[in-house]
Amino acid sequence: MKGRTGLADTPLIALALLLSAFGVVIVYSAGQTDLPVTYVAGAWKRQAAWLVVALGAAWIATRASVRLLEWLAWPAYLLGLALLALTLVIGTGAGTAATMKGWITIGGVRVGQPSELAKITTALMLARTLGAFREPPRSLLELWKPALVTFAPFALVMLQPDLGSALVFVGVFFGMLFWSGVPWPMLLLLASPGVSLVLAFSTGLWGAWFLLFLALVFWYRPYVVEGVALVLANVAMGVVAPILWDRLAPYQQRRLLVFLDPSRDPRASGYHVIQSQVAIGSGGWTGKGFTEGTQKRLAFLPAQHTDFIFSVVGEELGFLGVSFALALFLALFLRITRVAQRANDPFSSLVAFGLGSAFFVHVLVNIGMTLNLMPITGIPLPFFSYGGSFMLACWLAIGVVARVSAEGRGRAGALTA
Amino acid sequence: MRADRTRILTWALAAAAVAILLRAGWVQLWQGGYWREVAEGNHRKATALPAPRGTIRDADGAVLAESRALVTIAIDLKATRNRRAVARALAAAGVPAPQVRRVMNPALSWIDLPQRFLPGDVAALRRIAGVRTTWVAERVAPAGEAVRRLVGRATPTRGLDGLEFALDSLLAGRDGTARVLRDARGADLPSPRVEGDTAVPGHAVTLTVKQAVQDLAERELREAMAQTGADGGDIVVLDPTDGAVLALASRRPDPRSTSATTLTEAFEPGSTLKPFVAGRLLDLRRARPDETVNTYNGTLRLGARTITDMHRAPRMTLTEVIAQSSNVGIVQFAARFSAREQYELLRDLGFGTPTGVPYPLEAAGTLREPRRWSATSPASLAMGYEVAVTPLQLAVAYAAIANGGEVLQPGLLREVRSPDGRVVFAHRRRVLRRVFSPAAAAAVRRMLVEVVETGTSGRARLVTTRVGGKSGTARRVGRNGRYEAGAYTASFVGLFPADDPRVVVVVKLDNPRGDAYYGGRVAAPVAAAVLQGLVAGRNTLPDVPAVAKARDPMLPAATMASRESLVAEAPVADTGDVPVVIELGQRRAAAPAVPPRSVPDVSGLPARRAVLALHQAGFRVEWRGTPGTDPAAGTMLKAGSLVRFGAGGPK
Repeated sequence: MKGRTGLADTPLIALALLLSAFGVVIVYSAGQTDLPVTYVAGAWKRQAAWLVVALGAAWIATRASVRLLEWLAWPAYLLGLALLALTLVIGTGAGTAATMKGWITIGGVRVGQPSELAKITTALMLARTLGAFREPPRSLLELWKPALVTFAPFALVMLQPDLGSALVFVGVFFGMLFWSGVPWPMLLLLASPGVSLVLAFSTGLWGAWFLLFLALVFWYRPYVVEGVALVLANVAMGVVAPILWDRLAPYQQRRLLVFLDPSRDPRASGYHVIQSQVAIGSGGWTGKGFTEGTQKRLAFLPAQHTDFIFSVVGEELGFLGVSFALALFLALFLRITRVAQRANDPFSSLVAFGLGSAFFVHVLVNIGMTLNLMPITGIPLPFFSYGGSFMLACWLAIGVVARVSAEGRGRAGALTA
Repeated sequence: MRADRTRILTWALAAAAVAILLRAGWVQLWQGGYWREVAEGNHRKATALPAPRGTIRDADGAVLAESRALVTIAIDLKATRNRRAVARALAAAGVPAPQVRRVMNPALSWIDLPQRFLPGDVAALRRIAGVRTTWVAERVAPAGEAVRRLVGRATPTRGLDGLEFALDSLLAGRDGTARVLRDARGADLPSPRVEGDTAVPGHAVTLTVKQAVQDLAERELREAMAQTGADGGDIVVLDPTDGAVLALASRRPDPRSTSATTLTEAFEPGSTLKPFVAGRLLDLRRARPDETVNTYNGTLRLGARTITDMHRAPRMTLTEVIAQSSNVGIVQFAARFSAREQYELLRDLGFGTPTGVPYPLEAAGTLREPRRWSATSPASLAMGYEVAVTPLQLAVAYAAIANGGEVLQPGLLREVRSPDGRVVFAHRRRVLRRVFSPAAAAAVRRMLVEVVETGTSGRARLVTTRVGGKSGTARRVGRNGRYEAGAYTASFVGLFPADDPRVVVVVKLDNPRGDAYYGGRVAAPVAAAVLQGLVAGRNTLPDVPAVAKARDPMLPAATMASRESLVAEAPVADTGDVPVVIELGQRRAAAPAVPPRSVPDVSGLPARRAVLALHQAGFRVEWRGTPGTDPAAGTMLKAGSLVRFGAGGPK
């Protein structure tokens, strides 16, 4: 045991710090426009202040032992749900998502997005539920607990409605199932209704998928009840999908359609995708230079300090900057995976992995969106996108992972000392 | 299990990273060029800066047509942060209060202002977010209808007819591009990092035409047509000393017609050609002014044709033949020419060949070669038939009588200046050939005075000064190609003053109605009225000293002997000075209150004339120590603006 400096997970903290610093710098650049918008121009200062607060919160998180977290999982999860429910009642919209009720506002000041907190508490709760399994589940029915744990916040967030954040819960759910050792076919079967739902828009594709799915069912031979239920679920999704489609808010429909065909409506919904690609694409190898991105400066790039901040990276720092940022994120994920792998117990491992999954979904969906690989779902890029509560949530997660890491290397005592 | 899944996971993460990197590489590197172009297209607005067309001025420098760059303004109220500030700026730019109030109307999100603004007036306004400006060029012709018919019409970029069309290549500038950065809201952001091409304005053209003379000619023509019931008519006023066209007035039943018909429509001139026969006979010493011929009491049978006179006499002198316009007499005198000689006379006068003034579709007229003549052609030609001339050709030919025998190159352009102020063309007196000796020309002039004093055209007489002239009355060819009964072209060509003519006036009326259709009756008084107006006007007659100076000595090559050469072009007398005729002390009507006008280019002018020019353009002038004008020439200012001026400077 060495001194206290050697106790923390240096690579993890260093990577997160590096990403945060990079992020604040890019938020600064995002504010440098030819027609300055005061709020955005000063965003980097607030972001830096929030970073300091977030570091403090992360430090506090490292003080809490994993056992304490496990004990706290239930109340935290319920608190998260309560806040989400409260948001539905008193929530307000903000910025680019003015029509959603995602924020809790007290006295006119937006305090935060409960869904950010709920991602962490849900990961904790899922870890607790999945960690209780002695053996990997053999039947889908055995998964009712984790499914319920995920579905509750998922549903509440969908009601806001915030499809992007809701998808994060699904991502975390599947990530943690995967990590807890649920067999591949089961994961596939579990995901099959969702796949059906997506593919239902093309009868041909759905038909092909359905045959594959049937083959899988006959090969894997789940319990009859489950098999029949799954088949029915898939059929239902294929049939229900159009009805659901009609239920989607028009902007959501448009976003999905634009994902499929960005040129469909270049002025409105497609605008974001196209402008993001214009910004990134025009960056070339080395970019236009820090703060010099024309599309950002001239306000062509929408939400350049929040959802589309990665486009600023692409435009101003070019392919090299994009590669660097991606490398940092990849290193972070690998590090978190390593922490999860070395954790002392299933709960710790699953907590670390679940939080890592949340990060991964955020990064994949956000960057994929800026590059037109994913539909626009308006979820922020960790450490980069401007936003206090999100920065706080990210660093809380890093703090928890650091704690798991420390305990995994048998140094928890030193941390709590 | 965990290690297994970790391996899978690592691969999956790497695969995801590679997928994103591939995608980023595809977008940034492979498609990068395309997206860069899209980006440029988005934020670089390369608006065409319309090059202002060159200004057209009259000989005195008055603007006949000019282009100005204006801006129109629209306000995107959603993009404005402070409507009150916009309203204040609008009020400062002189926008009427009702429109300013619309800015404060919360129900509106977009306002198009109907006005066009001077760029200088709205400079402050244009910097406000949400204010969009569009450049528009405007071609304005401050001068009236009379001048418009000569100058023609033009869009801001293209001449449509008249001189605007003829001189399009000179007047048209080269459009520039203003590259401005444009943000997503459409606001222009002038950026020092982006450069564009400045528009190169067109050449400035100064005509030889004087607006006052043009107005006068048009007015008199209009009145004459009203009085005589003529279908149409033409008036050409020419300076015989240097060939400068002072006015080209024209009217036709078609209201769209332009002054071009003075150059594009040839007519059979009739008796106005008779003096040329006399002049050439005098030169060849085949006749004397007092030599008589038998005029057979006004009837001469020539084969199947009978030629008659209005004024019947048994014998007439050559002078009387001209004065009384005796057909019988002139036919006999013309018989003293060989066919070739008669043809060369008309050819040397410039008939059958375009004069070469820059005007679209100038007509050559008709003059057939002797081998295509019939037996009666010499007689017809002597009386001014079987030949068609344009009014301008006729004026140029009479100018030769007026100036001592020289056919001059007529000019419509006094001066052409390139955008940087260089004179690229200046009208000079250019002798094409000599057709009469000075003595013969003087003798013909005396005959022409007789025409007015004692002969057919007494109505051209002026009280104060002697006028020389010759009338013509020609039958008109109808639609069927034959001479139409009762249809005449009445014409009169006047030289003024008769002793030392400084003006040639050609008046031609088509189809005057009623009994009075003779040129001496209907056209001569029009010429008299024009001349009267010229005398009365302070700025209408050519400068006398300038005329004297422009007189060059006899050109040795341009003698009678050189007549055999078809285009006997004499070497150009290069006197080295540019004849810009701006009379000092002239008092013109104050420039009409057309709001904005451009500061005239006065570089190179003597101080007094420069100040005059500035005053005439409608500006107040303040003297200053440094050369040139402030604001610079070409700046659009409101009438009555202060222009600071100092003598000297470039050119």
